[in-house]
Amino acid sequence: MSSTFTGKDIGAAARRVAKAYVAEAERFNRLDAAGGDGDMGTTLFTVSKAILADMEPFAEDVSKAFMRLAKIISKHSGSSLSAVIMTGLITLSLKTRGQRDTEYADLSALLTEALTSMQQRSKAPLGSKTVLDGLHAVCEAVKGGGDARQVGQAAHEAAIETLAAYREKPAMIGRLRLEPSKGVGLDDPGMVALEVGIAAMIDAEPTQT
Amino acid sequence: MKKLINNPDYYVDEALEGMRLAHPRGYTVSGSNGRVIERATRKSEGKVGIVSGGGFGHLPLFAGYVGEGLLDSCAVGHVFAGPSFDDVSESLKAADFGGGVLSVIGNYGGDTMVFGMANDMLAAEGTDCAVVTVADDVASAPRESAETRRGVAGLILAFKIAGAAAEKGMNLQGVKAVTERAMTGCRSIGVALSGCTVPQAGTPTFVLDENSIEMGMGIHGEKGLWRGALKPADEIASEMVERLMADLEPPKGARLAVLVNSLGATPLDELYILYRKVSQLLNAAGLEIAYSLVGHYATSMEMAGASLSVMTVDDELLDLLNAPVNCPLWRA
Repeated sequence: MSSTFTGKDIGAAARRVAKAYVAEAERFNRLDAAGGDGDMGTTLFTVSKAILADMEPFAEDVSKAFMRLAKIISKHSGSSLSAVIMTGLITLSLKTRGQRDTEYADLSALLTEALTSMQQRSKAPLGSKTVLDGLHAVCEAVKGGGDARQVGQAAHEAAIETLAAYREKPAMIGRLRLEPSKGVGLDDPGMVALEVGIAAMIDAEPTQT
Repeated sequence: MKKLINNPDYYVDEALEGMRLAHPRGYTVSGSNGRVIERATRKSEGKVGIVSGGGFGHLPLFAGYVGEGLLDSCAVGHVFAGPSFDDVSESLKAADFGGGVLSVIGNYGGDTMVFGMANDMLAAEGTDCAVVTVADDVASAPRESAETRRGVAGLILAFKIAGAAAEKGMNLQGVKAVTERAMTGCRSIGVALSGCTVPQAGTPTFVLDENSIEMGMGIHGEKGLWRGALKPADEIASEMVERLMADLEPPKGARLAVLVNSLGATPLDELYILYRKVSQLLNAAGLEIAYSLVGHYATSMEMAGASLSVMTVDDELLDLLNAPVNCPLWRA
């Protein structure tokens, strides 16, 4: 398998993730309702539908592919999760400017840059039990690079392990911050979405929580 | 679901179209998604533009308060869901008259992030921008973490102050400072008597038993302080006043602006019954009500209940509150 990915690969992966998010919308809403306003599934459904409706093929340019996804989100959603994802995508676009293919070996550093910008935008420190903790684990897990399958599997395992590691921890961000103990025993819906998204990227079965 | 609608998917767009048709001299609808409301009246060159935005379902709050002396533009989201980045960016640009743009928004994660990003982008293009985040709901967080509180009906007073200050010709820093000063002395609390239904969901966001109320509930049905049996209006008003005064701690003799607001289904009659007791309690505490609003200002569709907001005022803030407004949905 190739040790690089292109804008076309990003487009194909985004479509697989979007299909999974459409299918899992009710589950995400249910998870979000336990500690939030219960609309995360609807938000991801709306954005995913827009991604799937965009039939124009993605070009090779990696930077443009990231920016195209950011622009789809910018048009269709205003949720905090969307804003965080958009921030990460814009950073990835800036950091891959001019690249027609990107080494998987560079993915960890790129994701770490994206994570930093997402933390700055959301003001969510690591350890707060958010999607950013899952992404941080993925950054660490893919440091070794490899091909698409190896990197994807490492990322998926990291996402699953992070879910398990945080399940019994209190939530420190969002509505549950007022009663952090209520988050104990619950999966963070953003972390679950990350796991479902990575599973879709590598055609694996998502875990069910 | 029993609502006067055609299709839940078109709830927001059809309502906005109705607003524009009903008030052609008040509102215009623009933006690539048709989700930007602008003042139909002429704006002065060099004036600070005042912008807000938020989820729909709270009218008159947000889009309804676009008008002279209030907002210049507003980004409109879906029901109870914030506007998209594009809608916010276009709203900011619509309010750029050369004097800078001030966003006055509620303290909700999505709105603060999306407005933050859009402001950063506009600033990068050379426009002076600033944001005032309103966090007045005392039930949503303790005083030690007041900066994390939600923004509710205090937004109305913030819009009035910022809009009037901009019309007076204050610069961006001045408008921001006076609005922030006003909000430093503003507190709100709500009480819900029944839930509401987001059209696309089709089922109530929460259910309260026939004789139950929830003190401190947010305008999207966020959990409040306690749920219990319905009490007489005077007892409810007393608890609301007590909680707000304990948090605000106004000095004896302080002047206050008071807003008694319906969450949607509660009629003016009941609001005045609440106001009666609020007024008695504040006067008894040696406080002067210098400005009052009673009515439907920040609603949650058909939710029954009310909110009480108080804000300490001085001569400058009173002048701004009493400044003229030309907006179809403003009721002073």
